[in-house]
Amino acid sequence: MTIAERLERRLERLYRRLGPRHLAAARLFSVALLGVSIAAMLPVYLAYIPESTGKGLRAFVVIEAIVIGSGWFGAARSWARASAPVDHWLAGNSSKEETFAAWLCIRSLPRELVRRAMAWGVGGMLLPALAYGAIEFEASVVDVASAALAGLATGFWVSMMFVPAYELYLRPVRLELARRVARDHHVEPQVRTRLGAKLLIAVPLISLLTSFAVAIVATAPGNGWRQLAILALVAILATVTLSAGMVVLLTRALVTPIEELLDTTRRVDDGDLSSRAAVTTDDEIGEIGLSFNDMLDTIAQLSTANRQLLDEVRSSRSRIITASDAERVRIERNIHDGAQQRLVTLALKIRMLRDDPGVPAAAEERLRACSGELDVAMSELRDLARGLHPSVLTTDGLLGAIEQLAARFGFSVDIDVPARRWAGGVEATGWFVISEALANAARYARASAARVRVQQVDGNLVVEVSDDGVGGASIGIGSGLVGLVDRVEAVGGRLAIDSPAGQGTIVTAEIPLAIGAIA
Amino acid sequence: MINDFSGSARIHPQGAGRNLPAMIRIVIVDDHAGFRAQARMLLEASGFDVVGEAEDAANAVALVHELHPDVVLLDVQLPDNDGFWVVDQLSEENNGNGPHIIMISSRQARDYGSRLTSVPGLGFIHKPELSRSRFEEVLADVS
Repeated sequence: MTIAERLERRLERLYRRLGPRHLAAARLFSVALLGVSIAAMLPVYLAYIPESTGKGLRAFVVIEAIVIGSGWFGAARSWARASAPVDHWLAGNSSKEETFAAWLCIRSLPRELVRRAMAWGVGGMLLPALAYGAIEFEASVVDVASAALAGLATGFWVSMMFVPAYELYLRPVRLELARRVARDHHVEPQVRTRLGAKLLIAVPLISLLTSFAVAIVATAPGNGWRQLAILALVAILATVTLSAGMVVLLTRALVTPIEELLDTTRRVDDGDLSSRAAVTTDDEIGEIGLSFNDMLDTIAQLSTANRQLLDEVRSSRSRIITASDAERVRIERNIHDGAQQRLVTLALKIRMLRDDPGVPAAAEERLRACSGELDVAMSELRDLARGLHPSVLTTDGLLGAIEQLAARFGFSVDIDVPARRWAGGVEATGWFVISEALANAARYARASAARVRVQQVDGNLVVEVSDDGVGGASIGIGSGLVGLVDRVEAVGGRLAIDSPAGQGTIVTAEIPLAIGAIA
Repeated sequence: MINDFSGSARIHPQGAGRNLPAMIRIVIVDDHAGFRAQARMLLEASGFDVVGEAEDAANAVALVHELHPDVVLLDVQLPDNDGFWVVDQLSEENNGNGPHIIMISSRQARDYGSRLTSVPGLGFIHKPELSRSRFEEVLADVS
């Protein structure tokens, strides 16, 4: 068992003993540790400035007391507000959003507390304390500046120690939150440091270099102003060196993950909705990656739902057409089987009556008129049935049906149709287009000639009907051509109408051969 | 199915085609009783012998086997199989020596396109045009 594992076990035991009171315990721990960290500045003051006068030393003690007190106060004061989302979560409010908020909070909590302690202790109170020390105890400028720098450096150092120690203390809550967030957001749990913590690595470096600077100044010969000049020079060198390091650090921490995120947005932009950002960091940019991936999940779901809906609508439209085709076939059959059959029998009866020698001549004349009327009725019924679905389309396909159809119009129809068969649905759609287009040519375009051309091109049946009529036809509401467009698009095809005024009309339909055969 | 052997022997007035006997025996196949009755009246009045009637395809084949008529007046649209099925059955079995077949339909011949024209020796009468003269004309064509 490694030392790390043994430590882990011991920790687990400790966590079990503490139970759910982690946060309260961590609160005491953190405030105490912050106090210690800020108090640790004091021996450093003493160590770095051995030549200080009694007055100077007293000044430092006062300064230090003020800084420690206010830093401590700052951390304690901010605690409740800074940890509110975690408290809220621990109280049992564990929706997806609340869990994520608690996760964000607990990860930034140590850094946040350090920041607030420093803001109060150093940012808020250091300068007034220094001023007070300098005036009250008449310490030199160099003494005061050195004390301030050394104090800052040590404070940061110890705070840095505080961050991992504190995170260790909050570990069970943190791990549980990480697990929940990972489950909610479908990612591997991350246990890396946050961006802020990464940047904090710079702090010990700053402290170290600053301490060296102070040491050099303290041992440098010459008067106070000369020492101050050396201090400034060393500080500039240190800053330049550090800046270079920070640039490298920032590039690694910020630019690389942002580029990864950008690449993902580009892939998504190119239509790859399954692309996800690789979340390699546990910091704020990692969180952007997580929410970005969440957003993509939502978009992908919506897109899938939309596609399914569209597929359903398309297939239902196609089914409606198929059902309507089958219904037309059935009605055509029923007309011949029912009404037409009765009319036929009636016509035969009348004819026999007419031929009966016992019927007087006057009645025979009237019976002849009846026969004529009956013939017209039967002929109209026959045309109606053919318009619904010509039976010759079923027996002989498009060519036979079109030849029969063309004979009904009062203008010549040039037929260029191969004598071959296609699936029932394809032929029915093609026939529908041709009969509607020819009917339009006869009814509105006042055409004197028309041409029907059918070809198979690349998995499509291409149907073209042209006439020499007045043109100007459009796919507007109320035009019969709208029904034609709907009919062709319902089986996944396309219909185009080219009809310049005065130059005839060309209706072109592309009907995919892959549509199902009708019943 | 109605079998009618009304043996009133009448001589066919026109003698019809060479291959036909003097007294032409006919079976009518149609699912409409009204039409069958009308056709029977018309044909019998014209001097033909209607020996039987069938109302569907299966009975039509059975009846032809039983009665060996000279002519079958066959409706295209039948409830079980269509008239073309009956044509196939009869021509397969009889090896060309079966009865002459005249199809009838309320649709016109051109509505059936090649299905009619592809069977050699098949007659067709559009139902409303059924009359003695039309029947004899078509019979002369097919026999």
